[in-house]
Amino acid sequence: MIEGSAIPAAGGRRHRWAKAMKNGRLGLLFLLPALCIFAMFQWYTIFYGLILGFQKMITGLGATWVGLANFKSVLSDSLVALSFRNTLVFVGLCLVFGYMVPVVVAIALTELRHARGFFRLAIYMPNIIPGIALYIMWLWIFDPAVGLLNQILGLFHLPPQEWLLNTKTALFSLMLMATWAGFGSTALFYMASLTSVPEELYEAAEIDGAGIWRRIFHITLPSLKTTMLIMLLLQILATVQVFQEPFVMTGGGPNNATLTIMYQVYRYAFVYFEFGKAGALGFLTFLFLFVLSLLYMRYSKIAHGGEEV
Amino acid sequence: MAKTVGRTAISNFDLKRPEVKAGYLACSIMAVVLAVFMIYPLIWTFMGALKTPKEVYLIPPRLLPERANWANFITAWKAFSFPRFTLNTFLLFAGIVLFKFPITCMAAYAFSFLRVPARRALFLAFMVTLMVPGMAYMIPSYLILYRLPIFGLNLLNTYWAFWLPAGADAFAILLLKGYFDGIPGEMLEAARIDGATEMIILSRLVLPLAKPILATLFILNFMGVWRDFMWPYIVLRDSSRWTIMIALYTYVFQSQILTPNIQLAGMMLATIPPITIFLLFQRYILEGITFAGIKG
Repeated sequence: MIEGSAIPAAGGRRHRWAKAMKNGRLGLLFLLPALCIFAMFQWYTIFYGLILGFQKMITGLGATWVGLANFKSVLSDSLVALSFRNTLVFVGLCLVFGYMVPVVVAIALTELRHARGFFRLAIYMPNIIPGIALYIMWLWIFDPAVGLLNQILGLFHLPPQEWLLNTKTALFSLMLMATWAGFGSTALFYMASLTSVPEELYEAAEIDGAGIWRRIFHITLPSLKTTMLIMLLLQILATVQVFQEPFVMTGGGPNNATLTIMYQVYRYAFVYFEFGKAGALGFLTFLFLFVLSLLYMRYSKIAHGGEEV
Repeated sequence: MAKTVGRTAISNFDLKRPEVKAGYLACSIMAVVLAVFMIYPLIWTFMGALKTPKEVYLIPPRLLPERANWANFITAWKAFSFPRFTLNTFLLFAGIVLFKFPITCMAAYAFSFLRVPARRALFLAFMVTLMVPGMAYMIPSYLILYRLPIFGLNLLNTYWAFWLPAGADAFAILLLKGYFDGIPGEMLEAARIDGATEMIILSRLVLPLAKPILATLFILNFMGVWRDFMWPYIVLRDSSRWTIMIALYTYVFQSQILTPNIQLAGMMLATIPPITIFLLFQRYILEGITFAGIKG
């Protein structure tokens, strides 16, 4: 079914190509709508995003090339520096507090003999709730006066916190919400890859007298290694792009304490209408994420046994 | 729904040992605590939606309201203009389905069953878009919609801004192609010998066989459209075109005119459709999740 497989080499390159085109006319026809739509809304959009940073762009008036001017002014903007710092802190917090949670939960839930389906549903539940609905709920959970979190702190005789309203705790609060909402789906991934651990390994380890902990550390965790690596990259990819949570919950505040890179891109574009600068900052972030994505490709390929897409 | 797990780190034999029993008990307790941790906030929110404003601000706080004010839901239904914005959301979704399914099904069919020149390179060109982080699209997409190249149209503030690009979905093509590849080619050959055109084979033979994956895509897309906020918020500025999420955001976070109980009731109402669909179609959705992690 692959083109050119049955065509003798004698025809030469051009002949072969012409024949492939002729044979593939119907196939191309079926692909045509997708090709047109992808050309405009994927390939051209991505390309446009890459060159946008090198232009001065005013909607309605068109664009002029300005070289690296946007990059220079973006990199010397103190708010950009702050947004980088905040984003890095957020990514770090999510890794420290959130990265191991799904692994531990997945291993523990897989061991359960009863009601595994119920627990799986319970941890996945926040993923079903739409983002905005979730934020409304957490707005009241965080509320300093009547919120659930301060009620819980009160149970342990801890002083109430201001959560989103304090520059010191705002990012931490967003991390708490994001982790609560997001760890369930990751845990499900881990649970899925745990089902593929060969039973014989556990059998053999048990016969050799290895205890539960040794089985977990020498069989369970190593077999999760690739998934964990992929999840690490995916989590960094997702958290570097954090935007909607601070946009809705804090508006970047208080005092820009939750201003993230993507939020700054948004502000450049839709508050100051500096599309070129937005493009430049987006470009820099994109470059960073792209390198991470390439790593992800490599490892996911290894994870799928070197199988091609 | 899921494969039954055979044995895991702890065997049934282990469970007879007292120290393992204690560990297993600890594990179970942890699971229960976790479930409480996940579910209690939802119950707390639900109770908040049933309270009077006074009860929400009560100190010391109480979980249960004096009596359940179910009328809060009716108030929220009206205050958030649910009928209008739900209708908008459905309209948006209907157009997306109309544009997305034919285009992606045909593309997947071509990749699975037809001769296509430079097939691998083309497929890769489609799939590479899955690697591009979502944030990279925001600004250029906005500008492209502001002035569509070649046509010079401004699609901002219209549903066309969502309908036209709907077909540019590599994830859907990947999912469909993956399913189509499992359909034996002999069936198609037989149909071809009987004189069926490719279009008829696609619509009469392949698509009926691919119902489960079509259902998965349909449900995932509905959940996506229902919950999507940021991009619709940027594109649809006119309140007559708002989706339900834009309305929720604006009424709760931008104009604080509603009391907390009504806010929470609105939040609950907006959560009912996705929860219902999830509980009904769990199997289809969890199938799709396995792929959902691809796009960062």
